Amino acid sequence: MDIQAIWLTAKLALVTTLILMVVAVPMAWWLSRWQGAGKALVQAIIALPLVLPPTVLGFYLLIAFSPNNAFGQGWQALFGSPLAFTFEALVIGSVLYSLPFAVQPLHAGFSQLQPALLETAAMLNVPSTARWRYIILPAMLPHALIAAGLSFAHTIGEFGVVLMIGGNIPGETRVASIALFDHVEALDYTQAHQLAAVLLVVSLLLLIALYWRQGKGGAQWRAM
Amino acid sequence: MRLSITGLLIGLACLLFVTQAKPQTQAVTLNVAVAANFAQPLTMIADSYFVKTGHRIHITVGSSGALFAQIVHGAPFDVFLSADAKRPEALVEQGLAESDDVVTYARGQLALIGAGESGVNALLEAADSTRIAIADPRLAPYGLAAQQFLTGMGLWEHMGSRLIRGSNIQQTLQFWQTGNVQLALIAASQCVSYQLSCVMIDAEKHTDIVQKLSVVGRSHNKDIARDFVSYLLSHEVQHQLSAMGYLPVSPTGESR
Repeated sequence: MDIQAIWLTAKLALVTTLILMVVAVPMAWWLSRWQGAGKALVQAIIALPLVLPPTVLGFYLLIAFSPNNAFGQGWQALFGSPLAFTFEALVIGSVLYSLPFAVQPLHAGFSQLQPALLETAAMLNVPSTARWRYIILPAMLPHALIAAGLSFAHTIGEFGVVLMIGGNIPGETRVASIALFDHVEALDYTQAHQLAAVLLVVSLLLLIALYWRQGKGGAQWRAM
Repeated sequence: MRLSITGLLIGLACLLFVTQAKPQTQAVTLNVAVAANFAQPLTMIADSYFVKTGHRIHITVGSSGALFAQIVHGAPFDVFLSADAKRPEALVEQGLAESDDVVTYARGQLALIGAGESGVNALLEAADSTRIAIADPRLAPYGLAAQQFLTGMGLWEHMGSRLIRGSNIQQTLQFWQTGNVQLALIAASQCVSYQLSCVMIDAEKHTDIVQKLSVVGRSHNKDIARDFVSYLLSHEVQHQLSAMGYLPVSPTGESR
């Protein structure tokens, strides 16, 4: 079995989800409050990975990561090693690729918060930390769970981006979906079957858990 | 991948068109599936074959593994030009091709790109610091040859995560072209196709890169497919191939 590839996939999904939650919460909060002229544009850019072929993102990232370009150059100057074909490169790719899956449910949640409730709290001079603690966070928890769950699941399902920027290095960038592709290409259908079954079951269980949580009176299924 | 699927759809359409047609004397369109490294030469060969015979060649490019899987699952290709010997032979084992229809059409040559004037020594100098792209040895014969070559140089063990694996030889070159690796072991044919200055790797340093083809058993145009194969093996074409980064094979299709 491809324990190494499965472990690497889990690690990538976990790191990606943690970063996404840190990035997406303020982003979604700001988006839900902002009514500027450029809002549709910002929303469209965040939603792009939903419709773009992953290879488009992978291609641009491969170009950007190159030491011939400013971003890749900056990275190399900062960390002393090139970026493409590293675990860090996959994390950057995954964060971009799964961004809408984190931002959209959170945005839906923040948008549903009753402004009247917050205004009343403000009028009663409830301190802002208490407003977050007692009003915003409890209402947002189901949305945050969905955002995190979907980001995690979607990162497990990532293939096209990794194929283009990964370089298939065992223990570093060979995630489960790539290992599976390799097995099929190498006509090793036994290993392919095993790995495919693991991916199928894990993804299914994850989604069941999310739907089950939602069924217990959580947030509406807004994502996607 | 996208290319192959588009090709497959077009191939299907062509097949529908072809099967409705007419006696074999008329011009037909052959659907040829080709491994990435041979796509460029095939385009040229297909053009001259069309001029000679009036038969068109429709080309679908992919990795040998993906094309093989498509043929096993019924893709309507007439000829399959693999980058290796294993997959055309596997078609015979699965009863999808006759053993007489499997022949060697080219022998590949390994080349190093990015080394500049220091040649192969660049590998030794850079082995501790530079990343090298190769095709995945498990998937691509050029990758296997690269592995054997690097092992022979005593470098394979030390490379570890500085060894970047492309899923085929085309992606391997792409890693180098985008500037993400300094050195790459690719096919000599690519050096010719893209006019790159490469260093040729001594063919003694690895096992032969034998590229075989197969006429697909369920082809409706077998006679023309076989005619195309013998054109491919003709002295005229093989001579052209040696200028395109391949080592020639004898007219019977056996290597050497």
